[in-house]
Amino acid sequence: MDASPLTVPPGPSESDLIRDVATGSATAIAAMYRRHAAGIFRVASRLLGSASDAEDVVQDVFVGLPEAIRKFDGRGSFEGWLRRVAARTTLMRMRRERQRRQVALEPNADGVPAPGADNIARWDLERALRAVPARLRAVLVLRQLEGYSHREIGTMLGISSGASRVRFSRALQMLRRIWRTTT
Amino acid sequence: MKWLRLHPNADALSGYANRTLDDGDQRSVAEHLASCESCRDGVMILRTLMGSESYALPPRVLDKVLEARATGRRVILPVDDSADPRGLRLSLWTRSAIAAGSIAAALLFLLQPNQVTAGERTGLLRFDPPRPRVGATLTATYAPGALLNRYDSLTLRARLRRPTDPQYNWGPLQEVVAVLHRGAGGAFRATFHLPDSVVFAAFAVESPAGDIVDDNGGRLWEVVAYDQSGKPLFDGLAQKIGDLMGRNWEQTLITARQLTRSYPDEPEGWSLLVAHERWVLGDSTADALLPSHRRRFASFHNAFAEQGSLPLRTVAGMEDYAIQVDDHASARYWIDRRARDFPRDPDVLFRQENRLRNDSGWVVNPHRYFPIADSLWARMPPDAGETAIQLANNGLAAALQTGDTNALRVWSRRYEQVDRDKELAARYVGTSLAGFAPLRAEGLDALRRAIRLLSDAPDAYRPLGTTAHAHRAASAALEQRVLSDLAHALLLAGDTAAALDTLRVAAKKGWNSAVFRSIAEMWLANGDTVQAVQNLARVTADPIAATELPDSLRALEQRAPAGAWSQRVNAARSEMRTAVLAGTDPYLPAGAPRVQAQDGTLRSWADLTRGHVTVVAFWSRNCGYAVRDLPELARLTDRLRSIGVSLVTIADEPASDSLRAFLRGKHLQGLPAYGDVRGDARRAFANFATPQYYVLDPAGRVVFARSQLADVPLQAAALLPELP
Repeated sequence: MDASPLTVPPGPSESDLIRDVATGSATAIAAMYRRHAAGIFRVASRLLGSASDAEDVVQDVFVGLPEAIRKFDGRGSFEGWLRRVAARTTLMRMRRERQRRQVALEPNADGVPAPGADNIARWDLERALRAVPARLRAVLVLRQLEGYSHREIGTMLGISSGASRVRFSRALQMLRRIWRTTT
Repeated sequence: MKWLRLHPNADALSGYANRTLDDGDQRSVAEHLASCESCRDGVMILRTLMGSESYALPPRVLDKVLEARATGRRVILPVDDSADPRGLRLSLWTRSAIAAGSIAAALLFLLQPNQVTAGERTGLLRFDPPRPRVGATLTATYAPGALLNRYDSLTLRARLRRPTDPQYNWGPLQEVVAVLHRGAGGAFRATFHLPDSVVFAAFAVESPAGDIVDDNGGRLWEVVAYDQSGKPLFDGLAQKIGDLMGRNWEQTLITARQLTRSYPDEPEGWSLLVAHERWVLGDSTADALLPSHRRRFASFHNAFAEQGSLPLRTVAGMEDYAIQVDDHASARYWIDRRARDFPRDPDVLFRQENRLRNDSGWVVNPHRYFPIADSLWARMPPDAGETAIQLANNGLAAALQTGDTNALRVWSRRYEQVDRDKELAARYVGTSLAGFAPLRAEGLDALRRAIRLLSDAPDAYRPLGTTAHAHRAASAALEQRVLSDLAHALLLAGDTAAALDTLRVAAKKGWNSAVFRSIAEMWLANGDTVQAVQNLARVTADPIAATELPDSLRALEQRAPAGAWSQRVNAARSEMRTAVLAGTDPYLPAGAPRVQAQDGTLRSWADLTRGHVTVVAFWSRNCGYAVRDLPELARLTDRLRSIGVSLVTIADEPASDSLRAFLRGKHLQGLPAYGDVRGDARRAFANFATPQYYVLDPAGRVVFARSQLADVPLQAAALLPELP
């Protein structure tokens, strides 16, 4: 059989970590989780508007990572690849939720922390963001927070880059309007 | 860039907020912001969003991840490598990782052979070119999971579909298309030719002996043929839908959507979409979508009705679409037009046959029916496919209804001739004809034909996801039933000795309580109580069958000496366990899903299944076959419970008032019905169709997957450690 010996990596370099995650090593998964889980959770929370759903996304991503990581071909940044996978996982969940026509949760009913004295404006904005329709919110989050180009967003959402631009503009307008009327 | 009069667009505001604009643009936007409160808000909002730290990751998520992995749960992530036109590419370190992972998994398998998970079977299969044209030469590259990595060559099996192939996957549709050989880097490769007539193909990879099958977690791998412009062929997508029917309903809907996106002016695509929206999404969603379909249909109707010459696909599509959107007047128009413009079209001929029946499907006038049906049959073109099967089936049903022996002989021959599933067709014809004394000999012959076919167990009938062993076992189980049919036909013919011999052959094909019961009854009728008791003990070994004994056998049981009887039953139980469990390969579901009880509470999988044998039934109220089975499941609930087996039925939707009302309407309130809240259960079992039945052992492992409902009680009984 054409196989390399299974060895313990000497240090936690990213390529070593990737290789170990591919073998299903719990230690490697935990290390990878500590590096990337917070960022994935933040984006998933904003896309989904629900902390518990975002937690499920983080779980799904890291449970599925050892099998999925074998498809990472080593080109480009691993973090970028992982964030794309996480974004797609979140978008899939958004589509499923839309298909089920689930009623949106009340603002702050789902675990987003209550504001401290210094971040009331930010908290209001987060509530306003959750009131933006999902198809617009997705573009806003992917563009502004994740830094994807409209072309990349178009590919992920199955729309044209022009449509992504339009949605980004509408999302910002709507967020501004909602934020204005609720604060 | 000057923004003094015009508002900057959202991208410019974003660039300003991120400070990624060049100096000139940054200044221009700043000048605009000085006088524009609205845009200032925009920038403030964008910057505030970027700076948020309010999403703290909850504690213990990592623990849950590791716990899920440890219990064998796997999640398939949407890794987008489909855009890679060169097919599979694995870097050196990835190949090493796969190889190392495979060794570890193989060791794990050898040490714990009963802890196999679906992920260890599943590898990666890619085709180059990924978007082939008809008649293309394809190169398949396969990176195996752990279980298939030990072989030097593997077999690539496929279901190759042509434009006229029928929906669903019954019959001899499978074939070996290539042998994959291990190449440099450890991946397996093969090149093969896609026949010109093939527009869609589904694939699975397996070991040379067919004892380990990778069917991509039940989803198979699929290739659709494309045209010169890079668009998937209409027939390719339509065949993909036909292939997915019964194995993955969600994907049928997705493919129907793809069909309408690729061919927005083809009414047939839209008629397929509206049908699948109803089947997959349910009535309420489909009703909500109906107005837009009606508007589109009206627009098509206005455009097409005035055109003098239209292709058959358009006319047939308009007819189907009109029926789907309940536009009866337009449907009439398109039905008539199809009959006028395409008088030899198989569906047109079949519709004429239907007019000879009343609303209940009964033939109104037999004297008129058969001459006309014969003439329609003579006009059926050779490539009529499924429509010819339907016409032959109706002709045979009419012959059975009327008892016309001449018609029975003629239509049974036609039915066997065109039905693609020769085994089942011969059985149906055999049991039908055996009921008529003048045709009994022909019925016996047909049953013997079915038995020969089943005994051979041709590989073409083996579904892509089924191992060779499982296929042989399924064929033997069916052969046993046909042998039992043959025995009863022989009994009708007065040949008791041959009937008994046939039943004894049937008994050797596997454990079947009904066969043992027939043998016991026959020996009892012949006055041989010793043989009758021996077979009765085998019936009693099956605790469900034991509750259904006729009085004659129950009296025999009571007459038997208690000690000897108990010994016989215990020996029979041991024999039953060995026979039923032979060749099983238990595995854990991929994860521990939560399901929703009818009161809305979530129940963990462990709560429902651990510590006892569990029968899991997946169903959908949009699936006629699944709904048909529900009353039988309800009847089984108490009987299974009485032997310590629990039943969990999982609907393909969350619990709701509507679902509860549905169950109440069918008097099924007692059914242990749960909702699949997020599709977790479906994913855990890689189950994409209904009805499907699984039997789990007390450790929660799937021992029997995709069972027949009739086999489930015995399979559950075989898993009981101590039968009550």
